Amino acid sequence: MAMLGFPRRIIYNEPAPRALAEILSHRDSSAVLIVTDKRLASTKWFKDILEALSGSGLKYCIYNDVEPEPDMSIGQRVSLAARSCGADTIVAIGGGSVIDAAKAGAVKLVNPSIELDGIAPFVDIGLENSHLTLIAIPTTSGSGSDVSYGIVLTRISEGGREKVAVGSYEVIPYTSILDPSIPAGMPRSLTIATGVDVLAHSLEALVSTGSNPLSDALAVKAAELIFTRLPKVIDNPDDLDARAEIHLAATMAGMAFTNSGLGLAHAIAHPLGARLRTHHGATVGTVLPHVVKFNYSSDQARAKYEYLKGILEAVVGLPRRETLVDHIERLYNRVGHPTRISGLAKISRDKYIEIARTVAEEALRDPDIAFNPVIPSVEDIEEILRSMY
Amino acid sequence: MELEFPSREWAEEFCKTLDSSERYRSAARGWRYPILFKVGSKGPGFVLHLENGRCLGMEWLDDPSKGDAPIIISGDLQDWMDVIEGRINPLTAILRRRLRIEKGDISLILRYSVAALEMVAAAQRVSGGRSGGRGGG
Repeated sequence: MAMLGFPRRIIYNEPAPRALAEILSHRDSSAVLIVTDKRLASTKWFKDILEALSGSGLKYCIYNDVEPEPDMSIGQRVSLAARSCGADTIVAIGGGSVIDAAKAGAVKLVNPSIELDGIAPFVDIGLENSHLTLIAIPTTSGSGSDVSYGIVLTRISEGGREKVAVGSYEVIPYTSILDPSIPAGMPRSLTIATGVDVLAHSLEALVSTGSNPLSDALAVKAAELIFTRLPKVIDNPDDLDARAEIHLAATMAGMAFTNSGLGLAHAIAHPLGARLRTHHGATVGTVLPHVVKFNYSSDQARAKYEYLKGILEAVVGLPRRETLVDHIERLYNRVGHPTRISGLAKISRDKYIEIARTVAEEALRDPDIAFNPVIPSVEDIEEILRSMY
Repeated sequence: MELEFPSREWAEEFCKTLDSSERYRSAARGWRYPILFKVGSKGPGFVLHLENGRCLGMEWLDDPSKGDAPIIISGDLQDWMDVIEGRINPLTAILRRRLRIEKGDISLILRYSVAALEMVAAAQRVSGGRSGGRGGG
């Protein structure tokens, strides 16, 4: 038995203001809390969304204090804002950090006593049976949080900052609204970092030990879209058709990993990115080809990588390569993403080697590692880290 | 030697196998909590005294309701067999509620998922099943 979870609706290629007003008109909402960050709240399209809400006669409040990679306290802060607004709908407008903040706020709103780092798929949160509606409007094409069951937050302790990923099917948003005109404004570097994040979600979901035919279908198509559309968008940032498909690919990959699992690339990227202070998507993207190479030792993973490689060569028409790793490296060279840590972060080899053991030990404690097709030892992870400088 | 699960002999051998596994020792470094494993609603069960990658002893319980530990994991016999025989990942079994955490901190357990997989590999060796451990393919 496999339990699969999806949002109730995905609205694709529609202007967000119109789509949101339409959804809310059917939900009988009394008040809406919009969760976002200060930069997004100042954009023109954000004001268009507010105008559409005003036009519908809906009361709304705005919480715009979400910062990148929020800590555990964000749940409490968002839930307080929702309570003082009297909100029965939370609309997250932003990237992964904002959507995760909104999910955390929704959890704390319906279940104030719950500890966010104790959330798990078998723990009843009470969100599903509440009257609270969660809607996501992703502004980047990467995290997949608009359709995922994950919440990634930062735990701050005396020992430092640690990323904590928890999950529950109850936090999958009711609706995801995909308006590709919004991420069209992303700078080139963010387009690449989020694009390779989608590729990492796809390839990890594809070979996860929790994979199934449904997650495979989503993962393969999402990966294919990144291989074909990301170079187009880098060459021509105004190619809205390609942007739209990348935006959809991010959501497809989010559904894939929610219903399959992630793996070693994410387990390494979480502690590595925290130490190097690099963007999550960029970090996991750089780690990815090295993990794919490692996973080729599993018959099951190799068969799936080769299946995707076959599609890329026989269907899409990419030139033949030895392995899928070569295709990933070719894509990175084409769009300008580093395949090595030395190209990702300013850190000397000596300093990097110094932290490799600690990062490997932390990666071994990351829950994502449980679903990798090859279970590595701490020495294996250290070797991967050393080899990727 | 192939032993039957669940039995006192199996649990004793499981503890010994874990204790001699270098991979388990490395993955479970820092773990300091005994675990009570319960089979079915009426038992049996056993407590493994696990500490820092070692298995220091096993306590057999014909009636597991009389035992206690900081972590209690229960499941029907078939669900335990599916995990031991590699048909389902132990973490997936927990996430799908086929194995239930009756007591304990789930975030702590998830941080030791590799140790859980090494435990399954050890259980497979005790049961005479496939060796497991590295690779799922």
